[in-house]
Amino acid sequence: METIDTYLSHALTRWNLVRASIFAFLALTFSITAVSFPAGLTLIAVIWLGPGIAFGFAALMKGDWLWGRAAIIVAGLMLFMSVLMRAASGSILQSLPILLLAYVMTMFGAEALALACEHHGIHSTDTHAQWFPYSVPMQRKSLEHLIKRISILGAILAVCFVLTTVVVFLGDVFAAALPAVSSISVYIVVVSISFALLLALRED
Amino acid sequence: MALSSKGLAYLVVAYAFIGLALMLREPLLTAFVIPNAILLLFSSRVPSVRAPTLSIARRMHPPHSFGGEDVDVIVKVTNDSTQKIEDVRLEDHLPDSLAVKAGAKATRIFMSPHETAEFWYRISAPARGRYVLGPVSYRTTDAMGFHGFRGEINGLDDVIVFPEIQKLGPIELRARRVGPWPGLVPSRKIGPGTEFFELRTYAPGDDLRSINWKASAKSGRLISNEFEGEHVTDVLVVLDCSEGSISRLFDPDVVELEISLAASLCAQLIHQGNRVGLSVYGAVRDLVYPAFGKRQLLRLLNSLTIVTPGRASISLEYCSEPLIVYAAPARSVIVFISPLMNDETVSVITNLAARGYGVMVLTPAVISEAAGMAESMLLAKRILSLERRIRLKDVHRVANVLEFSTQTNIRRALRRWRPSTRI
Repeated sequence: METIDTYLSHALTRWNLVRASIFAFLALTFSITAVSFPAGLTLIAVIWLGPGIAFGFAALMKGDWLWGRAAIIVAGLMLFMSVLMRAASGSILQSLPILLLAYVMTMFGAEALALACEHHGIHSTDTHAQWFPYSVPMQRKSLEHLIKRISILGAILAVCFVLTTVVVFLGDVFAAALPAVSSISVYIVVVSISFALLLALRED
Repeated sequence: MALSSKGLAYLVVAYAFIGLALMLREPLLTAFVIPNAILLLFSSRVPSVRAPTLSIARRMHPPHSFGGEDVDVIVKVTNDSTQKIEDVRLEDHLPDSLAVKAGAKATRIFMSPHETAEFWYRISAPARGRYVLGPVSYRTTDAMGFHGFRGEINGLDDVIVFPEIQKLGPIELRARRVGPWPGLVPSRKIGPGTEFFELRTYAPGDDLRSINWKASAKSGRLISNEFEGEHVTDVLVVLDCSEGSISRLFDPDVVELEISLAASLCAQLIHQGNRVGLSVYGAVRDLVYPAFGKRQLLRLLNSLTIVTPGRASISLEYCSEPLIVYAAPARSVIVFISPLMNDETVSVITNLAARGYGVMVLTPAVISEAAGMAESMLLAKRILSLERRIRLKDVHRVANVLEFSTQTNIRRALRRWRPSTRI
């Protein structure tokens, strides 16, 4: 039978593992965003890379969403600069898959970081000075919930990436086959946004 | 359910990309909107979030604090519904004057139907008073966090921090009126007690231990000792926390000291078996009728917990004197704790003494430091101090007076202090 001490040490290990995974994912996101920069401007991306990863690390260590926001802002700015530079140089079509991947990964990173910060209080060892403020079942459920949410979000965002790539690809196919519907992807986007907006803003 | 700020942020990003696409005339940029649109669509398709049906119960440890100690609060949350609660953020509301030292007053809960969860936090040594904890606010969102709502769960609890109680040891009281029950107050009548009262001829049935062998040997017949009966009495503690208590003549902590002294006196007098009552005069007025026992002590402490110094709306002479006379039986003991800063208090004390009450006055001593005080303030302080000295002299004529300060060891001072026979 698992004792409370053993369980707590295992829970702490699992929590640290989740945090390490999120950090690794953040680092990967920043790297992919840096790679999406035009070849001549990679240095700027590398300069941004350091603070972004550091902010993400601080957010995960302290559970402070302020640091998390800083990391997301850095990632967002990097992506925005990359998109702008690619659009200005007219090479957006070639780099669209990687930019989309960076965008979706940034969204997932932001969600995962926010979740980790929200759950930090339950698993933090700082609050366990004398007495556990949270019971063992609460910690277990929190960890389960965190992993479940991250998995669902990962799956949804992966679907988002695949669907977007398919839409863009179909748009290109249609444009080649039938130049009159060259802007089909734009229509799809506009219709989907309108639909989502209507549903999102509905009041129960 | 309203769109949350996160949902709004996702919409803003989507529109920013559309705007950018229009500005740069680059339709491909709109591709970035598709993930956001899918997420918003997904968020709207998942089952809508319902308000959780929760009940809250708090447990405080210690249940009654006496100041200077931390209070642990354990919040027990029960899911009263048959629905599973996936993720609800709860936050317990505390008064601004309370600080959380350890634990967390906010948490996230994940509960099965009818399940109970607990979380805990420690409040850092609250000062004397009554604090209301709650209500507990909750926030719940959908799977994506785009829609959500907030609410409150009613469940208020009091954290009561009583004034600090010092162990004073036996208090010697002299009373003109004693009750029939045995106690520690000399009754001036023959009865069971420890103090020698008189000698008398031995009568059959007298306890052999009461025979005074020396007197018997001298007189040639058996002589018995008679003792002074010791009984309980009625005591009314009057606490004057009117604006005079916050005068610069005294230590800033003198009000708390007065309250602590009143609490310690009440506890000790109840412990000695007396019937004790309390009258509080200040920004808050209260009267607890004299009674015996531990429950009475709890009532007295509860009354002292809410004492607030400040200007009273009605004068002491007008409101308290009739109440004191009404609450305290004739010729009982009245312990007056007052800074004696106005003539009205002296007049009340004189009137009570004239009515036959035994009055004891405990008054804070004037502090002598005047460092950093302006000349005019110094002069004002000197005048106030002199006026108070005159009042003290007047009070001395009719009552027993004991001056105390924050540096005074009250226990020692009370032990040394012997009330005069005037009472």
